[in-house]
Amino acid sequence: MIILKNIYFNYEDREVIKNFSASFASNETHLIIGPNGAGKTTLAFIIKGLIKPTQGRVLATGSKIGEWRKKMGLLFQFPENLFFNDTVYDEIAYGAKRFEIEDIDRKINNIADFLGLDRKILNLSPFELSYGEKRMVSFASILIWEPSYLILDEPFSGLDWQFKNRLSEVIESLKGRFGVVIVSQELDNVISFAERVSLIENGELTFSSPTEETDWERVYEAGCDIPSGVRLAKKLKEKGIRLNSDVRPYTIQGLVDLLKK
Amino acid sequence: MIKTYSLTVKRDEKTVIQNFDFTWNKGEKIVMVGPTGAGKSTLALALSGIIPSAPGNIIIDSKDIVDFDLKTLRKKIGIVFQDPETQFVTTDVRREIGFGLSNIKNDVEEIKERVDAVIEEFNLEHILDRDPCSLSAGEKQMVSVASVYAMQPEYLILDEVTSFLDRKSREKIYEIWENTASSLLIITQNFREISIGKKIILLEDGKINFEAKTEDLEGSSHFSYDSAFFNLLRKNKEKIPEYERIMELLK
Repeated sequence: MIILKNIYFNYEDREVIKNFSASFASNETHLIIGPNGAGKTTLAFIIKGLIKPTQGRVLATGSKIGEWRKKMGLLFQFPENLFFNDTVYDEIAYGAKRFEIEDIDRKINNIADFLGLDRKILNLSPFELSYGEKRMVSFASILIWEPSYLILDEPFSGLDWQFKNRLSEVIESLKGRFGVVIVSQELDNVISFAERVSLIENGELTFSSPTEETDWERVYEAGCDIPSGVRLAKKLKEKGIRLNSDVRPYTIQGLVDLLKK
Repeated sequence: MIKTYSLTVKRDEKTVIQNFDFTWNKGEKIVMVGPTGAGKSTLALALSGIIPSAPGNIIIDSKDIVDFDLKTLRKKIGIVFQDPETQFVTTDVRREIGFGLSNIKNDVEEIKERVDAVIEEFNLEHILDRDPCSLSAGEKQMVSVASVYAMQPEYLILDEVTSFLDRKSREKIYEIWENTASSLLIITQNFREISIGKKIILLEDGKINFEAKTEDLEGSSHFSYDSAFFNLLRKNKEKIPEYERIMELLK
């Protein structure tokens, strides 16, 4: 588990993160939401150790935080901008070589299959790929060095619905094996399998709760989107149709299933 | 009016847009959707003159795009890129918003007035002194849209400019788009943005695969989350006791 204790981060004369305390379990999928400029990406960088908090501590259970961070993969926003190799193969292999991973050839092929990438693209230049393929290659270049913790900063931005669905299936399939922190404005692709939701506003933690206990009214009030299922259920409720269940549907399919009951 | 005649665009020897015929009327708001790799961004770059095209391929208000000087072209067509950081050139938000404008206008007072109006319209007061590159991704997108919007181009191309925005900022942008007199080409993956356009185009493999007036899609659209909900409800009609009432209310 990674523990953030009373973290402050100042940039120039602004307090970007204020007295932030939270914990991130080692096999939990944790969704971080918040309005623009709330400090979500800064927080991701602090967890990974790319920036040092002005005050407060980042701790870990089991081993030192430095050891954790070595096994922590971070998918940046616009990760495609970081490509620099001539072929997709070399781009993916780069990280693996740095971490002295063995049997790279087989692993690259396996990861391509796992992410639904055609093996033929391995010989192409990464710059020739479609936007969705590029995002998958970025993800592959992290998975190849076998991290045990993932931080994904807006992984769905700019993807079409097919790639969004494919990426969310991939992330869901990692559930339980990896600790995953997802920063996202798009909730529909992750909310059905995220186990915990935290809302950040103005650098402060508003709440952190299991997904099923999330205060969506509060999320909406903060200026963020809420899942489509929650939004439609809210609409139905306003029109006097009450859903006879304690289960809150997040997806449209979930809501329809509930209505069938 | 912008018209393309058999527009063909190649990038790295690969044909991305092929024999593309398209009409964009002045004042018209068009939404363009399509899978990644369909050629949407390439088309945007060609229409704005950033990627050169052959003479006769793109005609803007009866004049060939190749005959425009850069300054006049920028007054005609504005483009906001997918990655906002690629278009930033100054070190604070206020200057960033005035930068494009100061390249096409000389009157300092007029520039200042326009910048102030845009800052207010986009709610950017709280980040005016910040370096655009130090902003969050969503704030960057707001600033990049605002700085091109400030130039009041007759035609404005927006290439997936809302993907990092929170709900409030997105609603703000939609309101601005609804009210602007500029012609808009909104390239998006967000189905909720479809209702802003009067026309929707589905681009696939560099070609128009589907084109329709947005009003004709209402109720039967596969493009919006709410419509997806309608469709799913219809499919499960018999199993939902309150079906009729729910449909009536949601309509």
